[in-house]
Amino acid sequence: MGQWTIAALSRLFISILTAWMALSSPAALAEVRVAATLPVLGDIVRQVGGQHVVVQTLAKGTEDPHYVIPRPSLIATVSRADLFVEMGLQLELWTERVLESAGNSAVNPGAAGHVYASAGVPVLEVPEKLTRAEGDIHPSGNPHVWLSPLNGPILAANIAAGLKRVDPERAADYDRNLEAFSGKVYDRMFGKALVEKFGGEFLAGEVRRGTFHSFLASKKAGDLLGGWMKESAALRGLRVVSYHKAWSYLSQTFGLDVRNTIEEKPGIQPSAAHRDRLLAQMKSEGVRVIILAPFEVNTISGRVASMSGARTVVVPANVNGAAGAADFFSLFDEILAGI
Amino acid sequence: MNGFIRRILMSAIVCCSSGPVFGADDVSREEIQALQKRLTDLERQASKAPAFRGNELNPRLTAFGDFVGRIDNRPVLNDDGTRELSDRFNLREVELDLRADVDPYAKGVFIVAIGQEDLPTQPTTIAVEEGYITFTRLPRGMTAKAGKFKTSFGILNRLHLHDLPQPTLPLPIQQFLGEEGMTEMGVSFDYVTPLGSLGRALTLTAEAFNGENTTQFGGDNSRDPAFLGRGKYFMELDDESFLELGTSYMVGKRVTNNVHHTNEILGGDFLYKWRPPQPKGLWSMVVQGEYFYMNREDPTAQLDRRTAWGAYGLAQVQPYQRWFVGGRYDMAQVLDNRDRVERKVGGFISYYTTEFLRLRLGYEYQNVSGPEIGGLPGADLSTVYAQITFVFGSHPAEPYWFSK
Ligand SMILES: [Zn+2]
Repeated sequence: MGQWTIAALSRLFISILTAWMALSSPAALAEVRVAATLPVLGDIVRQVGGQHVVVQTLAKGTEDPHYVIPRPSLIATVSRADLFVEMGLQLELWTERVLESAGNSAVNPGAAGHVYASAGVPVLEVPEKLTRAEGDIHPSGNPHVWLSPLNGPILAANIAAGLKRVDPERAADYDRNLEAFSGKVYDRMFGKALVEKFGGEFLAGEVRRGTFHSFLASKKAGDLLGGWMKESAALRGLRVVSYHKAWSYLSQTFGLDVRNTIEEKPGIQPSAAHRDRLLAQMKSEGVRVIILAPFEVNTISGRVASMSGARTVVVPANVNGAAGAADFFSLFDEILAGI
Repeated sequence: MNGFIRRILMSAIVCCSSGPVFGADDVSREEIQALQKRLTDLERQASKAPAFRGNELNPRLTAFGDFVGRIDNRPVLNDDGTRELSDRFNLREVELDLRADVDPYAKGVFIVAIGQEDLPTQPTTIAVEEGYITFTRLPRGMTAKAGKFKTSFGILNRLHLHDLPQPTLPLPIQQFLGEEGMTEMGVSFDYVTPLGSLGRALTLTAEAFNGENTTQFGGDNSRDPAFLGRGKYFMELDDESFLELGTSYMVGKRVTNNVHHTNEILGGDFLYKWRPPQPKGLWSMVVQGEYFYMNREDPTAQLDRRTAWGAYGLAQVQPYQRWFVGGRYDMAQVLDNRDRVERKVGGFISYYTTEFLRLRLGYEYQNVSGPEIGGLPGADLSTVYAQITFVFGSHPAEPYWFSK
């Protein structure tokens, strides 16, 4: 019996081994585990990754993205991720600690599994001279890039590139989802008709260059305009004050006129002198609206509101920052409706 | 260069689009879209340029300064009685922190303290507070370091003076780990893993080091290594708060008359933090405590304790964004005097202009060597501290971990 049994056993062993290898092989339809810092990035990962990804978001939508506590739960999540997505531009100062403690070399900056979603966004307010005397939290320029829909396709393209690096076999799916997402952004932004005629990317460029409305007039295409760009017509030139310098990209896109911030400089609380200057400016310029993110509702903004008599508008500054802002698109529905 | 190309492309687009172009026209839509794409690509490239600032290969250099003034109700001397500490200003700490990637597999950290040990007339000393290499290409969740580092016993021992929530280290840490806490040379492994649902995590630490600490181990000439193990369980309680429970164990040897005796220290700690995304009356609250227990096989001297314990409790609230107020109670049995126990109670108020500059006022009352039960109290010490702590250099605006 000896010879025969050994042959049978080894054949059985080999078939079990092959089956086990097939099941445990990472190529076999494993989902890509993604850790995204902000809910808005988590949502874009979901839209680009579709059913191929499992996304965990580190910050909450109602939380100030600059000041997230690098808790062990976040570190543990990142330690098991295949892809790590952060905004970059030194917005999430806490990710360095998280990445260092997570011990996951696959997602460290520079590795295939790391994405700076803001890469390639035309950055506003890049300081000419780097000094802490100019405030402490925007040394690489304004990092709040996700607050213009126009940057959505760039964030999504970086995320898609990251997904393709860690999961090349499904590259075609990611490309297709990216195209669908970008197309939807432009349609929601300008209306289908206008995008069909001129192309979304071109229109986005016109907006960034500040020539969109003159272009539209020169083409006599005003009646084709739809989407957020049309809905937000009342925002153009509307003078407002915000708490933090977070809305520069939104105002570049929709023509909102942010005259000043309650913070003296990014991350620097107002002195009494700054507050008095701000109140005088609001009075002389007729600023009637203060825009706040949910986490900026505090005694300081409350006092400025009551002393100036301006109306306070609390709008979500991130996906899940308010009940209605469930994804990238409804975030802007909420913001524009709120203001 | 980019600007030049962009201008040419722009003018190409402008002259294409200035006529009645977009439709069935002389220039095809594809060509225009190709130009648009190139233009967008160029704009993206142009926006990348300022990211490079040079000096990337130099280590990141950060300087910390910790300046303290104190007023005392009676004279206080340093450990060996050579210098008066009371009633004076003291630049307690000047620390340089250098860190950089060593290669794709490791990072290096040097933390150097510059100080004047005793009298201002004596030469300046430079001491390596910590200096280690961390290995980054280990299995997921694992990090390792080798070199000189603050050992992972409990919570506050890992922090440098300037990072502490109050002006001083808690008494039990000074009593059980050393006047300035415990720093050793050796190796350290950390492993972090999520536990079940999101919001729970377990961190395990294992360390082996020389055992040069004189408070617990053999001192400079120690030939007996010491070992440390630590486990920390983290759980989010809800969207606004979390709880950390930790336990540490450390074992090493002490030598008495050429006999090597075992010395063990066991610790337990907890940290509760509440910080809602939007302030609700308060901005945040922290409650924290650590417990220490020592067991010595054989005391060195007749007066020494075989077993001893100590603990502290700390609470801190944040009434405004940049203000922190708190208090701490310490209690520790004195290791080398079995009749003595030390107690301290203190309060502090901190104001941060930014993450880089902190002003702090503290008051501490210490019953230096009161008897454990009954008897007459020992000499009291009351101290008022004024502290200025500042950071500059390439350190990112990383919030002091405790306060944010
Ligand atoms: Zn910001």
